[in-house]
Amino acid sequence: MRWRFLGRRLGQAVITLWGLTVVVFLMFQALPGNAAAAMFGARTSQADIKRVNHELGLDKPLWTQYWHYLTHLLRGDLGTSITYNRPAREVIFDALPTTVELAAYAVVLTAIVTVVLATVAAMQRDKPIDHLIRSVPVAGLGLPTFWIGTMLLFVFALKFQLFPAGGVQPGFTGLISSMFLPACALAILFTAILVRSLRSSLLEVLDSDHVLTARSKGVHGVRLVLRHVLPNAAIPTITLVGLIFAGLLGGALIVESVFALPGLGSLLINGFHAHDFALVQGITMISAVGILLVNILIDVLYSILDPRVGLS
Amino acid sequence: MSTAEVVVGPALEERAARVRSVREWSWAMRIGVAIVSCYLIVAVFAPLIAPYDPLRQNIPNLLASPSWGHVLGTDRLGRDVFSRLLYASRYDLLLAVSGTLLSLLLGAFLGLVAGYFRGVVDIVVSRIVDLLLTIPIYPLLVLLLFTLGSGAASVITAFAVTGWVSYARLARSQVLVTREQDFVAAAKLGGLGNARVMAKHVLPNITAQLLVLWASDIVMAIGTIAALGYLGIGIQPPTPEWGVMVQDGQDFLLTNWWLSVAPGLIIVVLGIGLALISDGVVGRRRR
Repeated sequence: MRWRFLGRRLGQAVITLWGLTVVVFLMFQALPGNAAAAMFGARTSQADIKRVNHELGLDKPLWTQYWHYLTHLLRGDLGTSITYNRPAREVIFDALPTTVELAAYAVVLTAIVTVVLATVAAMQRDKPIDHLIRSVPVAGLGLPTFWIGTMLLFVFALKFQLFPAGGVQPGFTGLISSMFLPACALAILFTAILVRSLRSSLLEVLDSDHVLTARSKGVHGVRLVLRHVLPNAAIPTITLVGLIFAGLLGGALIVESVFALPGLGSLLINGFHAHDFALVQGITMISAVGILLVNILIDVLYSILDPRVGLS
Repeated sequence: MSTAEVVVGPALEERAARVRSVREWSWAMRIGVAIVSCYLIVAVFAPLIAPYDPLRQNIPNLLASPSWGHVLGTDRLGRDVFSRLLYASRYDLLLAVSGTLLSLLLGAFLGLVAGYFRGVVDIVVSRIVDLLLTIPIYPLLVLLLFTLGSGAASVITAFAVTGWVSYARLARSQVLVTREQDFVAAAKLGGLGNARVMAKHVLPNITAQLLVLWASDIVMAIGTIAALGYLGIGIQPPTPEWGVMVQDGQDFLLTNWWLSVAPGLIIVVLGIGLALISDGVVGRRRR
């Protein structure tokens, strides 16, 4: 049953991906502006634009163009990066691990901090500490990640020199310490978004019959929270993680530029400044695929946490 | 009883009701309104308040520390940082408000039409909404700015193209509920055309939710506009913009930290103000 559910989700994802190619393609047909002009800047002669349009196949009919775009995409061909003079796919896949590591690091940090804060708030309901934790989102949602990143860089890397000030150090410990500050910058924002939701679902579960049963059997403290409360309270929050993951990836791309991490975000900005269309478009496409995969992963997690999912 | 009193009566009552509603505001809401009003006043009157021209360079006096002459010192080109901060509010607020307003109008219209007429329009709009919700906005914005070119008009267009989705989804879901109400059926039976029913009877019932979403969207938009400016792909220097200013100061963090700290704090305080307002509005509606 669960496999059929996942199969259906995969099928939906494939259709979504196809739709995505259509929308991204049409969006750029509908917009003013021109890839060829963007590649060479404003001082391009009409002849050059015509030549590049021809090379890129932009002077052919719409359907031919789309078919060309789609078939190349299916073969994993994202075009050639003009800055690196290599297939854009290779350049992107070289940078991908850094971004994935940063996003995963941020998710882990966010999960730890959110669970701790929400649990404390829910257990100490309506006490000062609860009010303090509940006011976190008000201040947190307006925090621009690039600025938090800059501030963390300033205080912990430049002033007190506790962490590297940019780039990635070699080795696993190097990775962990180089990415700590950027991951923190993201975790601060996403903890602010998630903490209220987890707190309110924790409160709901704390009031439920099965927790009362567990309590009457003498289960209490950490064991009660870990075994009986959190697994049930986590479900709505995990859904929320799926919804905000696109934002988290976007944040990761921005924070990478602040800390000069060699990931997709830095590549995207370099590609932008170098007028490298294949790179910019490829990264957009790859990020969308990443978001789809994460959402499928979350559905899997969901069906493990809540066995009722997929049976209906 | 004179006729004058009869005329004045409702007006007074109305005014009293308005005052009462301000009195009902929570403290958080009042602080939020006060903060946001300050920003609006600064944005409108920036040329009167700012002590210097935000673009005037003064190379002999570059990277000056805060003093009475320059409250926040000067930047790497000797420009007065305080004046630049004040002027930047014009660009950031104008871009964020107009970009999100376009999203709001476009999204509300598409959501309204999709939810009201259902059928093919609804299917097409809903599918596009589902699709765009799966794309991370930031790389899409970069891709859009790539083809449109940097600058204010491109930033606004890029926001409208990517931002309408959440408004359309919200409007559609609200319309689906509203269109089943008796007063909508009554308006239709009364012989009103679809356009009139939508504008006069459906739209007023979904505006409040759309405006709450708008408030939080403006916060996100300002953060994103500043991020784009910081990364050098949105508003271009020398235009005073908060994100551009954070970037400008980044090389001097150890000696002139306030150059990067001040513009960020300005964004954070504005974010808190807007969050307090939307929290207040949502809370009041729940009550």
